[in-house]
Amino acid sequence: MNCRIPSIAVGLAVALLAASAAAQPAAPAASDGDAGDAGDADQTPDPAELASKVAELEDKLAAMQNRKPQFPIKISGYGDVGMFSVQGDGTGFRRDIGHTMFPAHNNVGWVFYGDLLATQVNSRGDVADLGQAPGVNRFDSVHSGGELTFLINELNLSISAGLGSSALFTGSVNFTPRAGSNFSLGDSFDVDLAQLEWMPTEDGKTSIFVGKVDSVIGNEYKTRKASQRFGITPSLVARYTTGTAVGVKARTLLLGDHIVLAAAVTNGSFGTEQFHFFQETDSNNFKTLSGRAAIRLALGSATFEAGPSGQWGTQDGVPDNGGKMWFVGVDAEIATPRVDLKAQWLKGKAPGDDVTMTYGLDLKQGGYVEADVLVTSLIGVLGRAEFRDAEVQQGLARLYITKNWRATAGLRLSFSPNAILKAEYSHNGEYGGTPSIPDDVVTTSAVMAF
Amino acid sequence: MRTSPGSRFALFTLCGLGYALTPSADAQPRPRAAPVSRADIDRLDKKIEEQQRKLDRLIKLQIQYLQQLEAMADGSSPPVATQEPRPEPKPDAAKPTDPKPPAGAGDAKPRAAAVPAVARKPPPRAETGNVVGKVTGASDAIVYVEDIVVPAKGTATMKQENKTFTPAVLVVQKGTTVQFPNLDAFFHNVFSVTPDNSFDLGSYRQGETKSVTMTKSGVVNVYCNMHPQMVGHILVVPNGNYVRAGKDGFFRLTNVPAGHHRIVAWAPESKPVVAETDVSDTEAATVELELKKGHSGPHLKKDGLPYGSYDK
Repeated sequence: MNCRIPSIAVGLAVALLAASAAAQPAAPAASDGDAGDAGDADQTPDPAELASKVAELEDKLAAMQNRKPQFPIKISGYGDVGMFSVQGDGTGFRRDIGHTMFPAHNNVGWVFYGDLLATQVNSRGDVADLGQAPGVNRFDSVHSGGELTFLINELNLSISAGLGSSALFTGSVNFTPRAGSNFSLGDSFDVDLAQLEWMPTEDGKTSIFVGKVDSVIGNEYKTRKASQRFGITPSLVARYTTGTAVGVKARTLLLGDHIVLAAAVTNGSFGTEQFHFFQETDSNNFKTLSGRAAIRLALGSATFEAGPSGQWGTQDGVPDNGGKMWFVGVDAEIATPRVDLKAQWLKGKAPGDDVTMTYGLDLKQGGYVEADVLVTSLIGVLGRAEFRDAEVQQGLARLYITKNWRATAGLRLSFSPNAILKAEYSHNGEYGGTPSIPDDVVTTSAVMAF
Repeated sequence: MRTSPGSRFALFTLCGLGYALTPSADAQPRPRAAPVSRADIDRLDKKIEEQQRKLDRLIKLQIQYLQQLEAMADGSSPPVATQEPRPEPKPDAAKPTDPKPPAGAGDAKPRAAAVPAVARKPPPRAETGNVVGKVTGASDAIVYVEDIVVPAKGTATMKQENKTFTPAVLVVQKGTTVQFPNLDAFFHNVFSVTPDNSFDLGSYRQGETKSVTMTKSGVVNVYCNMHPQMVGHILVVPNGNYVRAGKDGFFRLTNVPAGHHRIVAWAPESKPVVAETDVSDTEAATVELELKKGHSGPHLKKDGLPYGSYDK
């Protein structure tokens, strides 16, 4: 009996609640209810203030979404594997035994003709074989003897780090697995590039580089790596223009990008030649100055760029500031969407040093003309014609006389920007009374980049 | 009859619920109207047609009036209309009648969705009005109504040709799928890091096309990860109410639904600016928008790294 009254009361309450809920009109929107509250009328925020707050929040949100890592880092690199075969014993030079070919140089101990670096087989410029030249003990890194062989041309590892939006650090290391001898490993690695690039202007068209920097001479250095080069082998003058050197460099684009200026102060020259016309550290106080000025024009969908470049400084490898070494040249390039035509001419001199037995160079002239053609996005072909007229001398001990020309044809298959297959045939010829040397090269390269 | 407390509770509950669920008098179906005769329908149709004609006349007069005003502002003779007056929908018309984008604007061809102001058979039409004004600070600005969302499902194309995006500025309606065909003989890698509309299409060769559906309104900056000179802008507008301002900065948005609206102007290298206005069918709303140049420095690669000197 006692529980009856509460039960009835609860039942009534539920029924009344349900009834009253049904009798109520639909609940108005919250904003309507707020609007009707006269007591809050004075506290209604100003619409302009609200709009400003919303804008502020939107800006903050956008800033959050745009926030990037403070130091973005990218690791990249490539592997370059190839196979090659060279005529003869793989060397590009011969000894003038008994000074019969060049009697005018009979005061020099050993005279050689041809080009020590004619039989290049990869983008590094490694030659198939350095031969057995008397009086020197060179590290012959490939030493193929001209036989058909596979070769891991180069493994490269690069790191790029953004230091804000106006500074970029780039480091690049090459690994070259090679055959050793006498229980020593032939494998090596070299720091190819280690530069900090700072772009001080807001338009980003001026850069200042510090560290081990790219060359400023000619135009071939821009595509010197296997992953960048259209073909495989470098030109005959690349040995003077595609090296990297330690120092500072500046580059800028002026007058609507129509003028390109670059200048560098470095320890040594931008060479790669193993006669050591370059130095990682300097053996003298006088630095090497380099520069290039070019004009760049847009011709419809094509771009034309041409200009002179040069270098001047103390002879690399000597302890004093006496002998000066210089290069001067001119380059031109027309780039269309399918065809890239480029040419370069170079001349230079280095006196050498008889005391330290530093090699001297007389590059009378050298140059190349190259056409890179994209037949389709998959298939590309290239043709290059070039020559080099030079003498390299080490006191009265050794002299290399080169009057060499080369014709190269190449095929390139780009399966993707990261997978490229290349093949080249180069015919090396001699001119100017120099006897012919059988040293044509067939080489291939598979570049896998990441 | 004896009843238990539980059953009485249930009875009261049911009574209450029954009352609650009983339809109110307001919700009762109205008594059926008297049958309408054929003559009534004809008479009403005639009246509607008459009203429609008057409305047409009124709109034409208003357009002429606006043209006169523009001509006076230019100090020149009354111009030939740069934009066709919005044609009135024919009885069977189902196509959108929003203003055509100007030639060379690079706008998406199909504007799949109709502007809500478009009337369909039968009348009456929604109330619409015009917004006229001038954009200063940049030429070739795009002006659009921001707060009406009418997604489209069309497609538009931004080509990669000769290391440039063509068109460099593309205006599409939200929901449009933008295709990026590579016409160059070399690879491109199209990407955007614009918040809400970021994408990375990866590297692809000539003849291949990749596409992105623009799901958020706003400006989408498009770049190539390999070629820093390639810069494109896609303005994703929320509806079909947009127009490109003339070289002199004047613009006219027509058939904007009546009400309070946010009008946005944007041009490449500028930040969007907003003006609010009330649109009515009686008088054209007027707004002035001043664009200011934004940051136009070099952009970064997709991974946040600068391109470096030799890429330029």
